[in-house]
Amino acid sequence: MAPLNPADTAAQRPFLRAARGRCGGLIGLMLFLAGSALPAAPEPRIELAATRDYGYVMGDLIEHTLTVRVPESFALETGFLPRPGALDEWLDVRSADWTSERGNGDARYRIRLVYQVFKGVRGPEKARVPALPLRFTGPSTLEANAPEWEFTLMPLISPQLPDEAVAIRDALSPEPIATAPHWHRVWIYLAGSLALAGWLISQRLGWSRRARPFARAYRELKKLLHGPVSPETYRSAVKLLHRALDETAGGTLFAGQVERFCESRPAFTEIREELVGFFTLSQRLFFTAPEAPAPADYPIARLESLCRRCAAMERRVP
Amino acid sequence: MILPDPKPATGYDKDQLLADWRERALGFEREIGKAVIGLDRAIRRITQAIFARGHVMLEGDVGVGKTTLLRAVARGLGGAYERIEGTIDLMPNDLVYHTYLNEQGKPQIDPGPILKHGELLSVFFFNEVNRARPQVHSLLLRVMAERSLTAFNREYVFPYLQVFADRNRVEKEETFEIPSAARDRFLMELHIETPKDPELQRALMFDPRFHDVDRLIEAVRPGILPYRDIPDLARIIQTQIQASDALQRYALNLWEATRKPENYGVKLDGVDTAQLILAGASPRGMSMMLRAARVSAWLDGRTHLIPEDLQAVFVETTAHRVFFTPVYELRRGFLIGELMDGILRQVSAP
Amino acid sequence: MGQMMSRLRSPAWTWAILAVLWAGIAYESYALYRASRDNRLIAAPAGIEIGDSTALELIFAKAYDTARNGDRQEALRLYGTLLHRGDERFRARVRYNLGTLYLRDAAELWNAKGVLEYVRVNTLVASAKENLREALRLQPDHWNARYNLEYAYRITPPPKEKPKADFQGSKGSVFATLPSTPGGGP
Repeated sequence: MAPLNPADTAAQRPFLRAARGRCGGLIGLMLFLAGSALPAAPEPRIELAATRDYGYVMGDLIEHTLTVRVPESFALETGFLPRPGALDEWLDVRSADWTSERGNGDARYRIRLVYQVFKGVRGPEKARVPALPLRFTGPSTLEANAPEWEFTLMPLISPQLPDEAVAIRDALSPEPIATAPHWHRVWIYLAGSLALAGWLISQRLGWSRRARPFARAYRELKKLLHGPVSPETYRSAVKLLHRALDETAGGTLFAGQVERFCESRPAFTEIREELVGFFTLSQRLFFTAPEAPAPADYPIARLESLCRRCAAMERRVP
Repeated sequence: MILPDPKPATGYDKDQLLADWRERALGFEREIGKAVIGLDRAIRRITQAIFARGHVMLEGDVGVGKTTLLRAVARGLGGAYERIEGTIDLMPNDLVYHTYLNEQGKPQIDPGPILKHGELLSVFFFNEVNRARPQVHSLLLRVMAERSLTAFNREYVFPYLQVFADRNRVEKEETFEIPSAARDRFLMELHIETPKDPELQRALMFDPRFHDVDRLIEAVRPGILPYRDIPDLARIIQTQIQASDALQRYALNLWEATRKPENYGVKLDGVDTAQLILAGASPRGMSMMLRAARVSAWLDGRTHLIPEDLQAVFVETTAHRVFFTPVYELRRGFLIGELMDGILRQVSAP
Repeated sequence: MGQMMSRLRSPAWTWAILAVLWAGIAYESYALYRASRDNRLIAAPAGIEIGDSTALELIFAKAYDTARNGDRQEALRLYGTLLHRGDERFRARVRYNLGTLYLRDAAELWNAKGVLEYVRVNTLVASAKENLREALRLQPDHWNARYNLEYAYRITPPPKEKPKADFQGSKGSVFATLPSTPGGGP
């Protein structure tokens, strides 16, 4: 609008004067309309990125990433994207996928296209990936084209080699069927079932038979007797033997149950008297005369020998 | 035999006293055993309850000798004996007084079964207690707990009272389950069962001696245990029988095991033990168990408690104080025995 | 949780798991037996007889052997039965062998007769290209397939007419762009 300003430089004046004379008002009106009344059609901005545009050979994959920016009110018509399959005689589309993000009034699409080249050439040649039409729906339909893309294609077979001299690559020979995965699984199953069977057997036989509570009690008793013998250690020793008896009986064993215990475990019958003596001692020690000094007729060595004999009985049980 | 005041610990030999009374107690058991056969275990428990001054709930089938047993016990104890049948229309007042028209046609009020004998009442037998209404239960609760009753504007005290209740487990209609607070006041719950021994069963069927209950009861020598002296003696027993540290630990473990059996490795078939218990035994229950256990030790002639004393009374004094979660409460009859056995098997001593 | 563990620990479950494991061992042993039998046959393909349940690799071996012994028609038929079976790698191998088989035929014919056998060479090359291209679609890094495909393009006979691929229909009038027609047309 500046040239129409009456206060213009003198150099422009002759021309202006001529224009103003005939249709100055009309031009002014047109410029005004063009500038303000017609909205600018939204123009998608498309950027194409590819790894390189040279050195491709037969069968290579070409990866294109299109970054498209449109106003937020538009959405990509994904049905319009090419479907995997042959695009033309020598170019396949292998995949076309896309992601989108929105913000700042824009919608940004990243469209990833993978092509595969099937063009046979005799020498280096230029080839062209055709323009890709894109369509957006929104307040109106928007169409745009991703640009064409040129690249250099190289031959695999030396151009100097005449056709007759080219050796066709041989067919693939059959492969033996792989047995390794089967062996692998067999070993895994075998190991699993062996472990499980072992566990089952251990459950069946019961721990008590193998754990040998008296043997363990004897070991702990030995450890206990390393230090000085006080009334406290004496009590601990008696308790150790009690726990071993409980474990062997599968429940708490009290004086009144010694008879039945020996009946169900004949190996222990020959030390029944000794066991009864032990229970008498325990009763005196813990309940009937807790304050009395340790009994002289039952030195700790006797406890130890009882425990050793019990451990021996325990081993004799199959 | 009249006991001196128990407070001064001189003037008599406590050990000798306990030994004399032990002989009497065993004699009492023998006398009762003449009247009822095959119930030795129940007789022993009742003797323990008498000397522990606790009330006893009897449970069992019809006609297994519960009433005969109690009549024999009452005769052996001496003192006044009263019994009442629980019915659905029995009201608390019926226990306290009864009104009637006398010969002159005038209304008259007499004391009811509880008050009739005053403080001399020694055995009160409540038959079929679960047929009575909860109001009656609550009256009974007070009589049992405090051995006293307020009536006719004064308080009646029954220092020698021992309550026996009997619960019929055959019928379920028109019965009122006894609330847990009332059950907790019983020292023991005894299960009376038909003797398993075929010899005894045959004797019960064919021996004419067992056909006439009144003659049987009369055979029991009356008043072998002078009931007036028992409260004092019971106190002496409780102070004279000692519990060692190890035994106290054992008792505490038993108690804990009724609350958290899973911590003691108690396992029941098809039961998640951690979900089983709603409430374990109460502190009162455990003190009652210890009282009964002390009597048990005394009857065995010992001055110290041993684990076997606790085991002897554990089931009868504790089982009725353990409550299961509703899922398992329906199977209580089976589970409670298993649980008690499991606890006794798993809790070790010393 | 505890309940689940105890249920898992119960013998019934252990036996069930054990039974499953044993079934697995039995199945794998049978698979191993079949595999070793098939591998013996692959090593000596003359004995292979094609049935309904013959393993794919055996048909492949049979086809390969038939092709080596010169019976290309039978080999083509056998490969043809495998086109849509097996996993991608197997299908790629089948397509490659099939394409190579066509290509060899075409090359022999081309190198011997040239354009004279135009129609047959064209058909064979087209089949070769189609199969090799499919092999590459299935397995893009198959270099031998790439090489053979490029060779197939090299021996593709030139078309009788130039393709109209470069035709640019930008002018308004059809007549104005007709080749060998004077500008302006009739």
